[in-house]
Amino acid sequence: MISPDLIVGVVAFLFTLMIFSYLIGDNPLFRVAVYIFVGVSAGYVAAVAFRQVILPDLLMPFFDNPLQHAILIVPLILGLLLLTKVSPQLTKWGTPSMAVLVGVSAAVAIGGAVTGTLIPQIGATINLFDLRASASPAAALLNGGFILVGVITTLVYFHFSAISTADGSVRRLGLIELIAFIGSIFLAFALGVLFAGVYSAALTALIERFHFFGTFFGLG
Amino acid sequence: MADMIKCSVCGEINPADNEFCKNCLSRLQPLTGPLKGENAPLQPGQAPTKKNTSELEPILPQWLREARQQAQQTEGDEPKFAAQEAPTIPVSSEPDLLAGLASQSDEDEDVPDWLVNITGSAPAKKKKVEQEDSNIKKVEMGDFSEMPADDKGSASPTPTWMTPQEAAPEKDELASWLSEMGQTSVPFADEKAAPVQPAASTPEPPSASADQSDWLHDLQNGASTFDETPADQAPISSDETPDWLKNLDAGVASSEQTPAQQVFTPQAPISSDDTPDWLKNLDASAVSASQPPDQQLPAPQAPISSDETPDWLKNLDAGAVSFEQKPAEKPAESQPAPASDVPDWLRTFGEPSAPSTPNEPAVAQTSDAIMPDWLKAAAPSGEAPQAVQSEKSTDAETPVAVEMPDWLSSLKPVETESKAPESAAPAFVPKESGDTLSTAPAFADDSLSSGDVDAIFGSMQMPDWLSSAAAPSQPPASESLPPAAQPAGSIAPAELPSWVQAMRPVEAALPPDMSQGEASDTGVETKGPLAGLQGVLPTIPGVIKASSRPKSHSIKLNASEEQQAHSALLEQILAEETAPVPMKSSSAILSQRVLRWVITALLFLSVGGIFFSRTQIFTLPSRVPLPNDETEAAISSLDAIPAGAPVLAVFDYQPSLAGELEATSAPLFNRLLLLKHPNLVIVSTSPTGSALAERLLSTTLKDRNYQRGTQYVDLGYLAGGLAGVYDFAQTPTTAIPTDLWQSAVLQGKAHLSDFAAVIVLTDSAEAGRVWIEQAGPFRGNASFVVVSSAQAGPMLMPYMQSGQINGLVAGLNSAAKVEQANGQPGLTRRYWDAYSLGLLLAVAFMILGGFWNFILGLQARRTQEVK
Repeated sequence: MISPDLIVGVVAFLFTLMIFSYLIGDNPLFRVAVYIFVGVSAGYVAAVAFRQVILPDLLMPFFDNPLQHAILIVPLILGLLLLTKVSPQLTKWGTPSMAVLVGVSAAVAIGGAVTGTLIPQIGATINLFDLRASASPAAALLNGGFILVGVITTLVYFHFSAISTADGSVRRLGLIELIAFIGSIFLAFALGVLFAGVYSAALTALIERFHFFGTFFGLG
Repeated sequence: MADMIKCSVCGEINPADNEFCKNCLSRLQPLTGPLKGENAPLQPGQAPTKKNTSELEPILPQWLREARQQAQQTEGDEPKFAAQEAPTIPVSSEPDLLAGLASQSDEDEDVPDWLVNITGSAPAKKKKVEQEDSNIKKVEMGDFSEMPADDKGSASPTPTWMTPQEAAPEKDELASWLSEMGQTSVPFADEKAAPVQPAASTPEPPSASADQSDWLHDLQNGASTFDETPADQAPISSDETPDWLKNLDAGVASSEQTPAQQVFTPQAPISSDDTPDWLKNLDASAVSASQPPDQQLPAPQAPISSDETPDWLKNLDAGAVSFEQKPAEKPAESQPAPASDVPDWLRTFGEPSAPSTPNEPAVAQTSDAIMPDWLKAAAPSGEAPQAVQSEKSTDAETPVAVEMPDWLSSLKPVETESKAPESAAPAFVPKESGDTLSTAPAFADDSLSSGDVDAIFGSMQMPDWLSSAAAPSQPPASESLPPAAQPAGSIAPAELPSWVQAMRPVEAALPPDMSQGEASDTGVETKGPLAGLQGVLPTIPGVIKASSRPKSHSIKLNASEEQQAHSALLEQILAEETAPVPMKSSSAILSQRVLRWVITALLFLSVGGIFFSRTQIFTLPSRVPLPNDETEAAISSLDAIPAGAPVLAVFDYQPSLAGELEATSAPLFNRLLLLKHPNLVIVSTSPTGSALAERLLSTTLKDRNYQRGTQYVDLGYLAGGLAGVYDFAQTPTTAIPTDLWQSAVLQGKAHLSDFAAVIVLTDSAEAGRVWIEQAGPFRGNASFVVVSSAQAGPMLMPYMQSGQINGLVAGLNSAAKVEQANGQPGLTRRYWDAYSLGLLLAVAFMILGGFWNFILGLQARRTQEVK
């Protein structure tokens, strides 16, 4: 008798090979695997969203007790209008729903970015120069200075205001150019770290796959 | 109305019995049956039917009418012009040369208007080509006896014909005076004359009145005299009558005596002493016409000796010699006798092709003095004829000169008949056979030059009878043939008169330059019916070429060398702009693919091999208790939570990196679950989070044997993204309304701060930032630990340093630290050697690749420097 685990294992193995076939180039096996993953993911998501959100949180309360949950008519209508985005002729009807989504998301994002990232990060950068909190002021200062230089130079690097020169070319000021150059160095380090992280993650995933193969074939 | 007939010309209603319209004298009844009786055609030698000239009054020309009226006014001065009731015309046994005038049929369209007008019949109106029954062109000679008596009694000192009269309706009739001269004599016959209506058929002019010109009466008298003794007949005795006219009477009589085709055949020479000499000379010239061509007429046999003979007529005798010259001789050479009295226009009768020569004006000037006034008015100086000759007129109606009288201006140009066989050329043109013109034209004038004559007669339409008068009496049979058919050598090419040449369309159509410049056009045709003509298109195929070719224009631009160089440069620049960039060769792509395969193979072999070999070559990183170490902080923060406390675990990562996250989170969760036995509350903003959480707990953490519902709960999918997280952070129970909040695991937990710790597992910095930003302000004292992938760790580190999170475990390296802290080898140890080897290979490849690119760059630079 074939256990579900065996079936799952075989399917997983095959799909893994199909994905690895991309090494020889784009091929139908890879595309089939990708399409299956996309399709399965989309179906699973739709099922989860309906089962865990729409049904218990919108439809059942509303239809069970419309009067008590009359307010649920609003998200119901907005959800139905959002479905009109599928049709080019009716897409304008889904504009209000999109407006609500975009507006709420923008507001939450901006608020969170400001209060959750911008301000705390600025404070943190400033706090680096708090020598009282550091055991070694010099080190703290050096560290703070280094980070400060990196932050400023990186921010200046993204400053693209320029002026016209005598020869007709458009260039930034020399000081800005120097600072931006330093900031580009910090950016390069940061991008390098990011690349290393991506490679590490992919390598780990690959090792995990080997682990799967070993487990599947009983190699340990 | 059955007895009435409507005239088709003027629309006048006429009785049915009338043969001619009483208004316009046009034929009403067609000539359908054989002509009999009076309608019988006139035979040669037959006297024409007398017509009542009074009927011709309406058709008299205007000038003639006026003359008649003046004559009537001075009636008492000229009893000699008393009309005779029966003008008798001497009947002569000799043929009436002018008899054919009355027998002129409609078919004969060659009767010139001038001749018709002379007789006072047709006006200057053009003759239309009508049917025979129109009878407009017919020349009828009426019997003088039929002439109305009214005209006989009129006599005026001034010949009525000299005075302008109103133009009468057109009528094809010669002057009655002319008809009277010969009607009783031998009828004048013309071989081409169609049956002519007798004079009796001539409709009586409606205005038959006593306005018959006196001169007409005289002519009648004179004609009657001719009938008896032509020589004895006194000519018009009026002192006003020009002598030539007087002599004409005798001359006409003599001319009528000739048989057909010979107007001036001197078979019956006028023996009377009254015969004008010029007429006698005509007889003599007619005789010479029958002579061989080589022979020339002698000197004027009977030069005009009478003092009354006009000089022009005298000169005609001399000019008649020119007509007798060979046609081979150029017309220019055939100048008439140097008699100054011979009018030039008469001279040109023998010089058909003589163009306007410089001598003509001089001659014209000398002859101006001799020209009568009436003819002067009709024919201006020599310029007019020259102008006429220069006319490229094919129009038969081209007027000769502005000042020409009506009778002269109404002259029709010679039509094709003139171009017909040379033998049918007008009378005043020398024939090929050397026929001579035995008679001079009746109205020759010495003052006119040959060119003038040509101009005058250029538009004339010579009647056949008159043209044949100059023809030989018995033209040889060969002469009747077209010139081309005639035996070679016997007939010399004809010399066209100037007025014929003027009508040639070839020269008229061609522009002057072409008509003069084209050499091929100047050639004289020697073959065919157009022999002798110039500018004839060749009939030989292939010889014909375009007389004119369109001008070829150069399409090249007139540009200087500098401009051309600039244009070439601009063209080169444009070509470079549109020139395709050569693509790299396929060898570079192949090399990259091979390199990829090599790297893949090395990586798979090394990592796989070391993994399956279960080596532990590479040591785990040592745990350095640094204050700012994010891993140590995570460990520390989780160690501080109380045992059995609810811990919120957020699974926000994708299935693709589930292996890394499981490997990364496994040490920490092992530590937490092993040491603290927390109640896990699982939530996820990704629909697959629950599944991933279930996987982690069932496989990686299966040793911990966490049971669903008792040790952990799954709140499920948290919808709404940022807003959902924010909502959950504020009120988790409303964000996820579920009964699990009343479970033993979540008993009494309604806020985020009720949790001991919040552990966020994410593979992206964005998801981690969202939870950090949204849930951070609402976590209270709960530890906030983030377990992320190695790719998200650098981006979430600032939050660690900012204090927004309590710990960060990013990647397998941090997991190794945790596992190092755990003291128990786990999955990280299993992956560590392969992970380390993989990292070493990556570093090696980067170093080798960089070094290789550096070498290639040096070589490229050296190559560029060399170039």
